[in-house]
Amino acid sequence: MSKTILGISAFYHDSAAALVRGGEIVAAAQEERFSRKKHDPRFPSKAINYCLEEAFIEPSELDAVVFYDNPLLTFDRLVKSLLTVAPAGEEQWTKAARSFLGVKAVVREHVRRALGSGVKLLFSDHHTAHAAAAFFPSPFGEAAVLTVDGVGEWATLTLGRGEGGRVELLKEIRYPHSLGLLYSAFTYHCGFKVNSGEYKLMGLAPYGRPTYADAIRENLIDVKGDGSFRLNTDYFGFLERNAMTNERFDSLFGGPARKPESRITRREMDLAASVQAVLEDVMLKLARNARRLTGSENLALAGGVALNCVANGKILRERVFENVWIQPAAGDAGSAVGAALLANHQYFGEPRRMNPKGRDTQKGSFLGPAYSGAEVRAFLERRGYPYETAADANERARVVARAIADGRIVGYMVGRMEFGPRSLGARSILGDPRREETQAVMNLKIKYRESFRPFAPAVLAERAAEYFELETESPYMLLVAPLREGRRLPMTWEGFEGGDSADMLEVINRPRSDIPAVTHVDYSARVQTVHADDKPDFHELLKEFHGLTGCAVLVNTSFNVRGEPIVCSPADAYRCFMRTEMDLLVMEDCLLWKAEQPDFKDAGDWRTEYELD
Amino acid sequence: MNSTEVRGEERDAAKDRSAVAFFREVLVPLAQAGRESGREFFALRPDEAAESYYVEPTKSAMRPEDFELRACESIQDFVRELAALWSSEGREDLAAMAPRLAALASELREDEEQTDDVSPFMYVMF
Repeated sequence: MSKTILGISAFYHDSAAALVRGGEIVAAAQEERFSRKKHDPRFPSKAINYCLEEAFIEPSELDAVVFYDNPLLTFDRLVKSLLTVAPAGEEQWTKAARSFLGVKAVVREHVRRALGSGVKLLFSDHHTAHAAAAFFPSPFGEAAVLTVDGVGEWATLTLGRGEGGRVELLKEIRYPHSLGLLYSAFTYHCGFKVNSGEYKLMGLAPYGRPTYADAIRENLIDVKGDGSFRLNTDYFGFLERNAMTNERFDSLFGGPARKPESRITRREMDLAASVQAVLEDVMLKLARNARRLTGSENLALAGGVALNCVANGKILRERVFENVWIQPAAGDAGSAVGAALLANHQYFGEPRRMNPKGRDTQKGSFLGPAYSGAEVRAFLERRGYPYETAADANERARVVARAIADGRIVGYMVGRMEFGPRSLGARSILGDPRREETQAVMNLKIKYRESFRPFAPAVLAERAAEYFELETESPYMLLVAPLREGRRLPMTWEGFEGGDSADMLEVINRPRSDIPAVTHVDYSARVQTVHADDKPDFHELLKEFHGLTGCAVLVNTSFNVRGEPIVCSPADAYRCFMRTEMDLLVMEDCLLWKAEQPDFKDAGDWRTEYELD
Repeated sequence: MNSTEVRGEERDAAKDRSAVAFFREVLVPLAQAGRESGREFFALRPDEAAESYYVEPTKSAMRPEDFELRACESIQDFVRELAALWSSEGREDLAAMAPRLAALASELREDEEQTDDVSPFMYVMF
């Protein structure tokens, strides 16, 4: 009889729950989407409730609950790390001991409180859960598996192999030597928030030159030919104090860390370019070694570093592997899925179910809650918000495509919410990529975020090759690819190379292609290919837009403002719509025009509601 | 600040004091003894002479019994299993801290769910 298993990731960053039944991922969601607290680390009670509701089951019907890592080994590392640096580290110990011994060490109590005492509780190893999340939902019968993150228990990176219903680890790198921690150190030093600002650092890199790459290689990290590496901890602060870096790091890189929200200078751009170059070199070497060790043509990737889509794109373009699949919830949240699948196959011995179409079993990562048209209408009627109803999905696509072509910015909430950090067309803000002003307008008036950050293109899968040098699908926006040469416009960096006075906005506003809003300054793009099987409504919308304009691409960014979790419910979506300068809100078959909405009153200044990321 | 909040702050301060006392009275002497004996838990710097930094995983694939972790049934189990782990590594000096650790864990136990964010600078502690 098939097993029903709940996977849980919790107590550090971005808690999540996932439900697997008979080897199929039935539901998965991050707690932050329900609690509205970004990267909520708490036990994911709300996400668990959602998963159980989606599967129509009671807790007593669960065969097991699987926690995503081994708290015993994590605490072992914590103690040994402190014994290495004590008497330094007192503040770290005080905070960690309270959080760990007071909360994480007693996972059983949290599970009992949420699900009752009769539930079987299992534990997976942290990186094995990442490996399971990378391999089991992939379209591969066998694959090399690479997991790279900050740290989990003792490992910071593993090379392994998956085949059928089994993943095994072949090699690992152990703490404190961590590619994730190296990248986070530069994230911190460049004034961004550790654990969420890494994406910004990656986006900043193309503005800079890798002038510090040699300094990083000579002083911070020793990389062997097989991709294995070791850090020189003399330059890092994370062992003995509450900081990623120290004075030695500052002095090597020309001064202290940039203050958050202060002006970004040439130094930060060059530091970003430098650490990105080093990361890409190491990832390529790791991938080559994984290929050599396993002999596989396929690579499955997970762990927070696998969200570095520039490095992922390099691995693909260098043809280290024929095929690459990346878990869309590559960070710890995705380990809820991995832990559940791992237990299904390696604890219960259930067989793995592959997609008969040869595609993956992640279901486009549309694994979260949906709200029916009736539920949306009930919400709107109750609040008295004016709306129109589209007769059918085709009419909705026509109206929305027309609005976007006319320069409108659209909030789009249709179908099941995405699992993972990227919006893929279920909770998205959409715009016209052809317009030069779209990037600045969406960054500054809709998202209220840094102007340098690029937007991603969603493109019809069948037309992606017309726009990008990409020979494979990229359904999860996890591969960066160059824009085709023929679409590029000559771009001058004149006036920008001079140094600290660089005006990034001026460069951003220079036209660089026929889809400037989604073309980064190095002509790269973080591509989402949209397949009709994964998301028929979004595919239809792209088709309509293409028919109307000849352009098969839309700007697709997450439906939130800076610091806010991506919207989940109609109430979240309406609130975000009214707080920003979006023009049209689409919720299932309901269309709401901003100009027709009543004045929206917030209880306070909503800009202070969310901590900036 | 009402009386409940005052009591909460006092409770927090008492917990911090207990954690600090454990650090100073147990961990610091252990660390000093470890340094004097020249034992290291991990390398802190690169080794130019090494051909590779990869190590073999402790276990390559999880077996069914590996999923069943008794340590997280209760805090007593957690400390007992931790001490057993350290003993199995020949680290009786670490295992000997188990009674104090168990006492500390009882003091630190949170009645409420964790509500604070984990500082990003505590990254490596989790």
